[in-house]
Amino acid sequence: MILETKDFGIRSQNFAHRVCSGRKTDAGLLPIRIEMQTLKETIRSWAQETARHRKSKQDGTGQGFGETMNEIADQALNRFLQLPDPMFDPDARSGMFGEKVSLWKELGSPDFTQRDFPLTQAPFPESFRCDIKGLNVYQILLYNGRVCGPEGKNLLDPASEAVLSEHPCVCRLDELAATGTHKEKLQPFLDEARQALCRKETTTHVKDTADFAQGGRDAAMEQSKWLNRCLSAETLVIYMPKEARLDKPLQIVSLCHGEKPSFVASQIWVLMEEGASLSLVECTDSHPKAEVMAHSLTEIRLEKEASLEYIQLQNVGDSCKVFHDLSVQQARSSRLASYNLTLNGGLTRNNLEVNLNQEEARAELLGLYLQDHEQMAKTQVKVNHKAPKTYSRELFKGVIDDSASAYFKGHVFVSPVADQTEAYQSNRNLLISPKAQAHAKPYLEIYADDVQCNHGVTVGQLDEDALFYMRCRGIPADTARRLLMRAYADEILKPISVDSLREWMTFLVKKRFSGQLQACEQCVLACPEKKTF
Amino acid sequence: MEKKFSEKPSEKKLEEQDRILEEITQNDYEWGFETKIAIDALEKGLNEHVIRQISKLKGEPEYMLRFRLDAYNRWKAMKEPHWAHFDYAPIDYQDIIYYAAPKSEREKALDNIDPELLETFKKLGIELDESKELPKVAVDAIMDSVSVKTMYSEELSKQGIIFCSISEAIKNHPDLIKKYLGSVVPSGDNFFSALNSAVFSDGSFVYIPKGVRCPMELSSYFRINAKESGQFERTLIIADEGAYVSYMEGCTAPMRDKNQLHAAVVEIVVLKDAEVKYSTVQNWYPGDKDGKGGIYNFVTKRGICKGSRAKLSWTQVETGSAITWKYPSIILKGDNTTGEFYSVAVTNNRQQADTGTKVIHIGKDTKSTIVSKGVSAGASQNSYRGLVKVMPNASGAHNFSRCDSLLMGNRCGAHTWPDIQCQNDNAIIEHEATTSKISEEKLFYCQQRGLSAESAVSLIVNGYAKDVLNQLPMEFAAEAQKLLSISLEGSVG
Repeated sequence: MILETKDFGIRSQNFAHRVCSGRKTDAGLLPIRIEMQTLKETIRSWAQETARHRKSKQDGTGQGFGETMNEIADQALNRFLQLPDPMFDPDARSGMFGEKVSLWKELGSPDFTQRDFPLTQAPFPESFRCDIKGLNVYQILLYNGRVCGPEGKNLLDPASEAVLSEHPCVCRLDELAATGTHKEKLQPFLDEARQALCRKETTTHVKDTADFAQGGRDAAMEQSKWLNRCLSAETLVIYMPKEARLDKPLQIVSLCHGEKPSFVASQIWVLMEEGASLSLVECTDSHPKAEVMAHSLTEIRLEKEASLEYIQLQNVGDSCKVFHDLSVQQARSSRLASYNLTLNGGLTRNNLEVNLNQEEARAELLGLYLQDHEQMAKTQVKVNHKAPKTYSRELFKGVIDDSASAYFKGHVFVSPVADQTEAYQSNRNLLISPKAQAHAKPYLEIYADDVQCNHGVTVGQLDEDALFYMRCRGIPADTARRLLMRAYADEILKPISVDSLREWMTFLVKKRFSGQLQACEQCVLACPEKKTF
Repeated sequence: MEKKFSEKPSEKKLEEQDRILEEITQNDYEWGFETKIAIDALEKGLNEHVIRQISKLKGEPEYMLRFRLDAYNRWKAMKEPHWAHFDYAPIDYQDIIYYAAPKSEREKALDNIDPELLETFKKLGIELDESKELPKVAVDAIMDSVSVKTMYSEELSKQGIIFCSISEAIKNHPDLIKKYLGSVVPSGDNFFSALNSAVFSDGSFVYIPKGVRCPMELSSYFRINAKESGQFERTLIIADEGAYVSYMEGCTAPMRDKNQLHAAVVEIVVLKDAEVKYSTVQNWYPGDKDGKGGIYNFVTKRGICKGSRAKLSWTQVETGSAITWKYPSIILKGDNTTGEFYSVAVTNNRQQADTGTKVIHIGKDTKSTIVSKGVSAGASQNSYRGLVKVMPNASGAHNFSRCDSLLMGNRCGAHTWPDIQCQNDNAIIEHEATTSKISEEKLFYCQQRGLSAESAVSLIVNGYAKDVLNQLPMEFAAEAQKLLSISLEGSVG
């Protein structure tokens, strides 16, 4: 915590001492210093393994984008390795709240370098089944970051080939890369990645017009992407052609499991052409006992009038760490509704970056995190309004129990051309135990004058009056408390359009609040609600 | 929420807007004159020798020199912070005169003060002649590096109140200075506080003894006059148990093409049951409309509510300076203490302001209120940056923050960078902020009733800032309102 008090304002000496010590959730600086070099070495060797693996799948004709992908991975690795050591470079931690260091804090746990980095394809555990009752979906399975399913086929319909033409298609990128025929459709993803890698190290605020065009980027978010680009061996492509829609939602189950502690990385590209619409459910699951660090990057491009409902459900074991990066590019009149539901997980970090590139693009970002024990949830949301008449709304709610902690950093950026922008940002935290912590940084950075922007943060407890009212009517205190918490969570869940999922979520939240979720996982009886492996 | 957007202003309206803007931006900085008086100044640059010289010139005891040298050594190891939302040419710390003083000796009797000086302060609206002043306000007038005159010292001392320049306090009240100087803002706190601790030349010192309610407003007026000099003043206010004081601060500087540095430190200690109200109207020279010249204002202000039921209130109106870097902070250490922060920050032309507050809740049942109103016009950048931190022991802590920004014109920026850290489940924190432009409906309503566009804007902005202006003492409120209208009138048509 010394970083926060370093440069700015308050620091009486006694006080600083108190801030520096006795906080268990903050990895001190010392362990990072020891880890730094070995950490970089580990990542270098993993990236080399990944590159070898990727190349083994390419035919070497240079036809497709295999070469480009390799190049991007190399550049990403280089930039990552060049990152300054926060211990020795004061600039690296010059951010007022030391943001730039957070990545190192998260990765820098002592066991990082001891982790496995599984690259070989393992069969998907057959005993696994999705526990969402009555969910009727197209299901795509990812096991430890690797796509399961027949090669060269459209995973939506295993009888057909993987082509990006008239029909919706879900397939691996390297299969498309081999043919090279769909390069122009996926080119924007490659361009975006390359451009991001060529950019200079970002600062906390914009200075010139070039910065405005980029929409003021966040260093920590970029760095996290670099890591994914050099370590993910495979990319899953989801393609929705013009005006296409599926008859049921698409579900991606990303399962993490390993005998030993491990690190897995995955990457998903979603391309929605003009007028297409899709409901996409991404579930990150793990064996309750697994110790996996899962890093995923989902990149989404919404073309004109496309509409996407994106639900990210994270429910992993207490010893798992989940890093999820979401990057969205939105064209004219496109719609995004995103839900980030964090039910369980040792450390869950969500980085959301939404670019509203053309007029009348709309994004609604909702999130719910339920934390207990010593869990930690970090949510970073960056919304770039780059065109007039764009709209964004953020609503993130948390319930924090035991010694858990939650961090929220929202950043709304409105560039000078984005007149008539509407942006709303809201973060609500419910602390229900004396050791729970909530931190919030709701930032607004606005360079246009004809805007409506607001933000709000609250940290507090359940409404005493409401509790009293219920108890007066004979409802026990515990039940009353749970009812209120469910009502609180309901605001996020209500708009979900996939009925079965919404009901299941409501059920899970209810179980979670009554403390049964954990109990259920540890129980040895085979009841239908139990998650099986 | 139903939102309506204004239509784009018509061509004609835009032209008129430009015209009015032009008029306003060409408005002269009223206080930009220079006083021609003989000046004693040290050589440019900063080194150990300069610090020893400052200390010697001021006839300071040995412990102060040690304090300064210690701060200087800390400063040498520090790097200028760049996290604020600023863009400015680097400051050359060796190109600044660290000590400049009007040649005439500081005298108790008015007759001995250089008439030029008296005239200067008169022009600024400050009568140093005690017989003439009608509403009783005791003023400590500070020109460049020295205090010129402190009024009503004797009258105040009858009640045990000490109101003098800090140099006098160092000589006459070493026990208080030793106990409190640097206790709220340690010299190594940040880059600018270290610099100030090393070279501070003068400032005000206030001590209100136990149970005394200060009978008049205390005030200090800072004036930079000398060329290429920086001003580094230091203010220390101590309110002993049950005491009350209201303190005001004002400042101006001549117009110069070159940027001048102002790095002040203000420390406030509020003991049990005491109350301190600190108001600032900051009106340093903001530079011309192309951003040439102006004061770089890097200020560290902090108060601590030490005993239970203590209360500290900051009110600030920030209209001047090319760069404002200022975060008056409050440490609520005692139980049941209260902290307040009210701020209006107005930026125009190429001004950049990054201001806000830090509130640390340590004691139980502590309360804080933050109200910040930013107005940006021209090509200026205006940021609110703040921290609210609730420590694990601070059960029952309550914070309410509200920071609004108003944008005028499409070349300016308004930003909000709040940070909220809560480590106690019994605390309640509420933070709200909005950013918008003046609504066309309100303007239309006013204009319909016969107000010109200019006075309508002025009325709306004054109403917008009312929450804060109401907190100012009478004498200041009038000045602040005048300043607001000068800075803004007609910025939007």
